[in-house]
Amino acid sequence: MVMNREKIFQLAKGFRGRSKNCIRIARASVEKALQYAYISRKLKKRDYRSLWITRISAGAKEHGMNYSTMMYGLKQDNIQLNKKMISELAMNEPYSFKAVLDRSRDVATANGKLPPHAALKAILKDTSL
Amino acid sequence: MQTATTSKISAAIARPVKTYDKYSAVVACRPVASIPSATARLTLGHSTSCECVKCGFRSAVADSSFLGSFNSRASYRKISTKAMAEEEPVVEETTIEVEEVEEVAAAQAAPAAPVSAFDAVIEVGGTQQLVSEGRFYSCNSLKVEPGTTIAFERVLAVKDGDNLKIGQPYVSGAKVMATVLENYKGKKEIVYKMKPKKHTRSKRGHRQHLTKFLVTSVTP
Repeated sequence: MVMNREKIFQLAKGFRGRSKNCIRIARASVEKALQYAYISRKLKKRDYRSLWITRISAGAKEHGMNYSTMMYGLKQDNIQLNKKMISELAMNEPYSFKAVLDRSRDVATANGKLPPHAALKAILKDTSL
Repeated sequence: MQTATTSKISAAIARPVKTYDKYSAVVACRPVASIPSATARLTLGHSTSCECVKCGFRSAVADSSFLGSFNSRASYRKISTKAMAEEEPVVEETTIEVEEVEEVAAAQAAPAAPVSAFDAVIEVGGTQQLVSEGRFYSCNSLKVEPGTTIAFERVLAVKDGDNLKIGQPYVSGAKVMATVLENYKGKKEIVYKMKPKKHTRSKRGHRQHLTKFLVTSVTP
């Protein structure tokens, strides 16, 4: 598709050097920018998921559990809160996050994934709340 | 009315002051010691995350940037039609003055529990959202006329007083009532594909259809 000059310069606002002023250079820069935008819209979803997992992991470690055990517990218990929500709870609602984590801890201990002494150690270590 | 509202505020620490005014809401932010005043004007707009302009405190409201595909099984149930369209969608009718909230907040000692800015986690539009009474949120198009009341019955977790009820997967009997405010289209995104040196290009614009709904009540 051909984009006329006005549209190109509108999209090229903030670009460096002649990419925002000269049409021949701007055209190439804008095309590249739009391609990157397309790719990045897909990357954004991956990046955020990775960020949520990091946050959940950090929250779980505060309570002496690790991310994988916690996820195992939630899956066994058929809790379908997704990672975005759990990470939001971990950040802003620490009591709710702890409630979710306790559920998962019980299940994991019952299924042998979390040895009893580790669970007890975790509970004793849990000084954050 | 006066005592009811002050007791309401003192009961739920920094529960948002709800005056709905199309695109902005006066919300009380968390009374942390460093904040000079306890209220700030937030612009909620089309995004569902709200950040206090004064203290930067970010309430736990869902991030709307990942609206997945619309689930064909409707996650909401239409309760009533547009007969209620004339009614103002103001949830909590009170307009509390700034001084009152500040004074109450100052009177409280350091708050024991973190602010609960969320009442429930619902599944809507293929995504999950943290919702709270009296706030509005965006979701994928619900194909419902503005003004209708709808009920969200797929509640994954809900606050019940001091406890959190977690569903397996859904909490039975929990419900979130909401009013649809408007159906609007998101910002245009240009979808541009090209292969260099191969004489192929395609350009297409896309505007996502979204719905804004105001949560009126949350029943655990």
